[in-house]
Amino acid sequence: MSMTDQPSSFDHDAAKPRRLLQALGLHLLLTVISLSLVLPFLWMFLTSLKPLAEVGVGDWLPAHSATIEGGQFSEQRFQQFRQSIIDSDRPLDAFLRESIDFTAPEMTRSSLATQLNRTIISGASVHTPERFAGVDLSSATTELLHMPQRTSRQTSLLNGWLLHDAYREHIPAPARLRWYNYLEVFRQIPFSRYYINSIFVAAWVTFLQVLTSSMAAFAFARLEWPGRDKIFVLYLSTMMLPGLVMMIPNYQIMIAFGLVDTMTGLILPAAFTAFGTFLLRQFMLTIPKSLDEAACIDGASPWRLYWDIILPMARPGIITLAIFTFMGTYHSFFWPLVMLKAQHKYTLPIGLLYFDSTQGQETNLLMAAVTMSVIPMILIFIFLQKYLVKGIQLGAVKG
Amino acid sequence: MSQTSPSSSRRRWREFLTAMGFLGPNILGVLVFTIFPVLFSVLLAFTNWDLRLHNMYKDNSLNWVGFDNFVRLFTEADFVRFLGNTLFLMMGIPFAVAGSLIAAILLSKDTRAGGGRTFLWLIAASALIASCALLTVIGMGTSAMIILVTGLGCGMLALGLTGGVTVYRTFFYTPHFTAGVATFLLWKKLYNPRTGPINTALQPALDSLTVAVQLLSPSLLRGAFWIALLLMATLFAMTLRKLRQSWADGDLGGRAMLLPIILLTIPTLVTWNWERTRAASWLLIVAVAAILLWQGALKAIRGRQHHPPTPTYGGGTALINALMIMVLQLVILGLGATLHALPAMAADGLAAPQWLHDPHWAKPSLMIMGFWGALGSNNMLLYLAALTNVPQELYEAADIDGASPRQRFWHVTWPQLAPTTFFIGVMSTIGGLQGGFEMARTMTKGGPDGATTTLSYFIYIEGFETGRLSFAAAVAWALFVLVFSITLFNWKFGNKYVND
Repeated sequence: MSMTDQPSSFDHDAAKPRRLLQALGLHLLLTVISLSLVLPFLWMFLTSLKPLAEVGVGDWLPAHSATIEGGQFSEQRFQQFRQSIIDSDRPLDAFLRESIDFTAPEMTRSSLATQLNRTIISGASVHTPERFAGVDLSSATTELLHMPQRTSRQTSLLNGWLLHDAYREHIPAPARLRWYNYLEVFRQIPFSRYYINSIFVAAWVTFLQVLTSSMAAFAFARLEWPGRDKIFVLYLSTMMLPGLVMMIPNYQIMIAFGLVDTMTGLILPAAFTAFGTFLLRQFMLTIPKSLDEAACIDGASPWRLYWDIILPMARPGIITLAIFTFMGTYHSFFWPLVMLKAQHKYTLPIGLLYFDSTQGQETNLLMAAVTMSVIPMILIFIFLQKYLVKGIQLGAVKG
Repeated sequence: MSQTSPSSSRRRWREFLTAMGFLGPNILGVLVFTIFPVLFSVLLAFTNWDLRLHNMYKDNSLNWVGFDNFVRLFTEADFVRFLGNTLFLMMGIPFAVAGSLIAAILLSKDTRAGGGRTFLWLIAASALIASCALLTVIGMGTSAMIILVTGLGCGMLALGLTGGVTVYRTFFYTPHFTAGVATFLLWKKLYNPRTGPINTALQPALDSLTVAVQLLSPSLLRGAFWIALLLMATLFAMTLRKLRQSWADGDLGGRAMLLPIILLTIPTLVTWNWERTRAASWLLIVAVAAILLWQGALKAIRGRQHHPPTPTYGGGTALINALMIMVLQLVILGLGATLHALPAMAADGLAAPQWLHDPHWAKPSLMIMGFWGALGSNNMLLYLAALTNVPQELYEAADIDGASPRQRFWHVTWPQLAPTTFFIGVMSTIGGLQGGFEMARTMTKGGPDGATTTLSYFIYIEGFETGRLSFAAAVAWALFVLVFSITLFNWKFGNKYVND
């Protein structure tokens, strides 16, 4: 009682452990929140490394069944595997020899995989546990084996687990991760094309936006001319108009210009905004006026003043605007969705949507694609967060 | 000044031209892609341009139809229904704002522990080792997943201990920063009723809950329902008392009280829809009416000590607070109703929700996802900046007065953050009214049965799929009127803060 009544700064000995505990508690709380926010991403990543049959199993980690499918089982291992089954006298191997002709010369990796998938479970083996005598089965495998009725997914899962349990030495653990899914995405859709398109569009929009906005902001912030403030208020008021109002007329304009389904049509409407002008003007107002006066005495033209003095001074603001514009365009969805028709012109969001509508059932591949489109954004944020945070706190919030 | 010399007017002309040289490219773009489309859109809304009537094969005449499109907004049921959907989804905003405030407060705390960093490291490392050892001992060794998540958590903790708040801020902000088609597709898969991780984790939990509910007596759960009703009525009484007090103190104008009170009574009226508990809703309505009368009587008897500058003074904050309380009331009522219905539901086993495939669950699903994205959003960063601007002397003064942490928050932090909260509230409302398009397009296609079609998705459907261009423009302008009225509200009430 008496300890808490004293001001804490006076008793170092009592306050220190308490403060440490408080700090630790705070850290733990923050970690738990961070962890739960990141969990969906963890599921996304782990699922992208699974075969389709394992999606939707309680366990988030890729299990074993990936190992017998294409791309994971090297030719040499395949031969070893085949030989060991021929040589062994285990009941399970004897059963396999009965149902599959392992000595057939035309036996390939994929034909073996298909036959194994079909054979093990559908055969009598399920009902005769003695076949698995001497095979150290994992608990999940045993559980599935004793299940009286299985869905087709569980059956193929069981096949994989059983194979893995029985022939562990031939099917190494690292091969469980199906990195092959990522290649498969590139094989099924022109994913790199989408990347390039997205970056191309975003880079052009950013360049045009920064150039025209900084010029306009310079005129509003650093030049004296009649009617300046009135025009600026007009500019500000256009920021209030919701973009949705303009979509339909803008689309008609694009039809009239013949720009539908072109990159130009994608870039132009996004390249000129009042928002960028407003943001940079606020930034340029904070640059000291004395710089302009000094430059004017030296006889510099307005263009030189803009290019050589104001633009370098406004660099933090410009970087902020550039990141916002780039990310906004990279994310933009509505306009590319209505504008783009040809598949090879799709940007990343549209490409993802297309992939979902055609191959969406293949959750593992979709998650691989999602992972690949999310990672660049996370990297950008980690490296540029200094500018982003400052920009948002300056009042650069939009949407 | 009346007489301008030719040289001065020429100089002004030259200044103007120079400025236009700089302004030209941007102004041209804004004219072509903003101003012109807006004007075009106004005209469009008053015609009957419909791609089903005007195309290559049909050549009906394009006519002015006056306000027909706007009248149709209210005669066709869709607009009102989709406006309702939009407003329903916006109920997630108070939670998102509260969440980002809590996140900001946690992040603004001093996480450094003086010279005790080594000590903290020691604790973290021993926690890691202990948890791994424990897992191995109790035979969780097979569940690699648990080890993975624990390891990830410990890694985050270690990063946080070395990097400080910035590290946590990065984790908090990631869901918001990556939000877009990619994360929507991710959540669509998370919500998958059969293979999604949410249901594969939820179903076992629900199975054990079913057993528990079947063991419990139904009257116990009914009791919980009545407690929820009581809680809701108490909340109503407390808020009303608070409103009356701030009215008496001159912090709130008489007219500004009207809208908050109306909002606060809405949850009570909602209960009228519950067929099976008609008696409860009667009681609730009577109780709420009694509280209203009681507080009204107190208001009349005690009068006010101070007078506010205008009758609408303080309306903005009161309205936003009332909105939050209203949503809280709805949540309490919803929980109570769920408890009441639980025995009946558990009779044939509780099934995990179908999420996006169920018309009742689709909107809450989107709101949960929105909360995930909004916790560490821009709002959190704004709050963080605002928190650092709260004068330290105020806290010191509060400490001298012996304020508890709760009092410190409600009497120092919360009032100091009011301008930020107001700004965030207004911006979120504007964003919420126009939002929902991406989610609807990527996750639900506006379904099931139109349950997630918001106004922005409606405009897309009408304008780009059905082809009713004029009608879509009318919807867009109706939406604009809503957004504009909120902006006006912002100007009227927000100026108080801007001038401070």
